[in-house]
Amino acid sequence: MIKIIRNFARRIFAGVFKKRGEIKLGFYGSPNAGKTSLANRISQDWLGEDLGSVSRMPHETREIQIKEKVVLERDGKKIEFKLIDTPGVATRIDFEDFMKFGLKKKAAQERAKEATQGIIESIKWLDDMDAVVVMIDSTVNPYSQVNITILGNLAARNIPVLVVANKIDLKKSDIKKVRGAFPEYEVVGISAKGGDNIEEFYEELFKLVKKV
Amino acid sequence: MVKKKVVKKKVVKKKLSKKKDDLTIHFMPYSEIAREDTVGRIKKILGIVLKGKIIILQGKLKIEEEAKLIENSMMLIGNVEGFAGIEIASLSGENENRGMFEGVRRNIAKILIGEQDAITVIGPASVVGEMKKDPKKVELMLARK
Repeated sequence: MIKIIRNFARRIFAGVFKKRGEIKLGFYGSPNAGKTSLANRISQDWLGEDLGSVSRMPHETREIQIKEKVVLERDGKKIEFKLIDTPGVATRIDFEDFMKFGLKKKAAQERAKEATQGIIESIKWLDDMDAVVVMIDSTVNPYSQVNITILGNLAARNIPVLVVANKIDLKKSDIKKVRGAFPEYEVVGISAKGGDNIEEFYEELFKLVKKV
Repeated sequence: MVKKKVVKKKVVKKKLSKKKDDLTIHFMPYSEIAREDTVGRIKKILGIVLKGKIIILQGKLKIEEEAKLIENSMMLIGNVEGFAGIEIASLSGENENRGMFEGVRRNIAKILIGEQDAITVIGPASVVGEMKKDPKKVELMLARK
């Protein structure tokens, strides 16, 4: 509770006394939702370099990854971002799941241990974000408790959110279902991997920044 | 020279206590956690989950408490043998369309007595394989190992 009040006060005072500087933009969501793919796309589009590695195996990102001074420009307006890619939030981690991807038991256990630490870090970092992109895999059921918990915690902290329904290029994608699950949020559908609809994403991102 | 004996301490990991093929469902009325603070609530819930039981809670946790519950269960993975986290899903009528008066009435009730007009299912991931949720139902699939 104290954290929330402190965060709210910081926001108010920052808005009144400080000029808008670098915006800390977090990427949150379940594992394999495409957070790093989108962060990489933004980083590639504006810096020409990747932010992190991606993999089919869940929990590829197990540490917070940051890319500073990413300047985005739209209609002559420049905004500087600090991109913060967070490990995917999950409620369960079973090392045996990693073994199905070919990892040996010891390596799988190590990956599981790092993944649990990553989730704890992701939750702790919620307080430090100025704005957040919540990535949702539009090919799976959006009503997961992880999505609800992330969005609820961001709302409780008064942090502006843009919901991104990813993987719209896939047959199973159902963006209507994502919109139906979170009617109170702006939802933009993209393919982070293929780049589909990325311009609309940037447009929504600039709208989001106005709320910071 | 006196050689010092190095005594290796045996690290005894706690075990997730669950008899094979046992399934216990713990129905928890909201009153059981109503007077507890966040730490107390999480301790109580995880205590039951670590016994391999599935909790059906009347009402739901605060959103910050849900995040804390996930955080705390992550800390237990690797330290409690056989524990692989939790599955959690809650159902409430908060997205239902209702009039302004009804909305205000529910919000006041929420502040005064907590969110009791909901149901939350929490279980150990080793017992609950998957929870499928939509706005009207929660389906729980048991883990088969």
